[in-house]
Amino acid sequence: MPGFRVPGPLSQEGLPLGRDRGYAALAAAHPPGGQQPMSTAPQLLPLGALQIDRDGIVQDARVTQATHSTIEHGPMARVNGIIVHQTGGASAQSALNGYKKVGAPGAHFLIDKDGTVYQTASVFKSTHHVGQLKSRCMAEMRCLPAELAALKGKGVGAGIGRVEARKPWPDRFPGNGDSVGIEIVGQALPADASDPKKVVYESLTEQQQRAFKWLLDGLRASLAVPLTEVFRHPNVSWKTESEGAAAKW
Amino acid sequence: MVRALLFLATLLLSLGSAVAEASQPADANYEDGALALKPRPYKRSTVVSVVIKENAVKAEAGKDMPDDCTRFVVTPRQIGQYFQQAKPVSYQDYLHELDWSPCMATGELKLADGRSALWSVQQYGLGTLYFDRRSHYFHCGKCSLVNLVP
Repeated sequence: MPGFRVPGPLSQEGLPLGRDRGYAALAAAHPPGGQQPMSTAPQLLPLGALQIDRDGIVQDARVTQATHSTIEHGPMARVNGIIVHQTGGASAQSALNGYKKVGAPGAHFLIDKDGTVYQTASVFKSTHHVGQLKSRCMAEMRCLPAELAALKGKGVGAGIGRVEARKPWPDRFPGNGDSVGIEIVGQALPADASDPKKVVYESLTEQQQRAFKWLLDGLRASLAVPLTEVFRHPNVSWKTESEGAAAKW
Repeated sequence: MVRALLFLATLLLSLGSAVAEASQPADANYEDGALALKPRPYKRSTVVSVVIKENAVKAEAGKDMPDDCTRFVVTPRQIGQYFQQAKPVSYQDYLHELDWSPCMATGELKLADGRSALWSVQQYGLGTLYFDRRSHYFHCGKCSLVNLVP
């Protein structure tokens, strides 16, 4: 997105204050009020897009359905971003076992070591996969004085997260309420480590990388999510920095 | 009468939970699957001594992050207080829910019950104790280690 870091004049259309043309274009392309489910008529799909039915379920033989209502937390009218995660566990089954608990955190898709793609929640339902948001304007070094004032003295996590939650996207990063999460099975190794500072997430298998790229491209095309709104989890929240670092797109 | 029944029901539920916890084998994997949603059972004991091995170090996973860890300097007293106050958390919460920081301190400590453990704490309130070849995960949001945005 050109000019992302260059502060621009106030928008005359009432778009986010002080944002540059890139942000205005993003917001204009994603008006509030909800995202229409993609038509199931194949000829209407954008190139490479996945068919998504009215329940938010991907209709593709390469996606194994394993949706868990236990991790769904209400409707999600608009998908503004995609967040890339790694599970921390050794297998897809271990993650799926965790999803059985009511209210458990979880994402919308899960990619196993062998490249099997599971859909674990409807893309029109929010799930708890992001946590507290980092400040986007601080991360992108373009905070306005009023934003800096609002953040002053706020602690990491809930303190800053509450300030960010009040902002409209794209003034903030996509969060639980407007993003799809893709979990990739991968451990933070060594697990159960005597020296936690050495813990890093493992790399993706070749099958995982291929499946991830295919899924990401398909979702982006279906949900009109620009590349600039695809983030690794630690980019948007305070999480182990190596989570998702090996995923390429 | 109703209160007594409620109390009895609560007691039975707690006992059931305790039995379920105790029924886990000693080598149960609390880092994976459904058990990763629960804290590994931990019997709290008073910290009697603390040795700091590393202060203001940066985690391997955050080596390329711009965070300045040089100001994250803890004292033995803070570490003792941290492990008295911190709450045991699940591996899932430690890894995915709570706030991670690349800035860490590490060392060893002794507990009043005779156990020795390796410890680590992070700038935003996460910590670990490692003994008997097992990690225990903690979080303390109110401890004096937690930094604010300058």
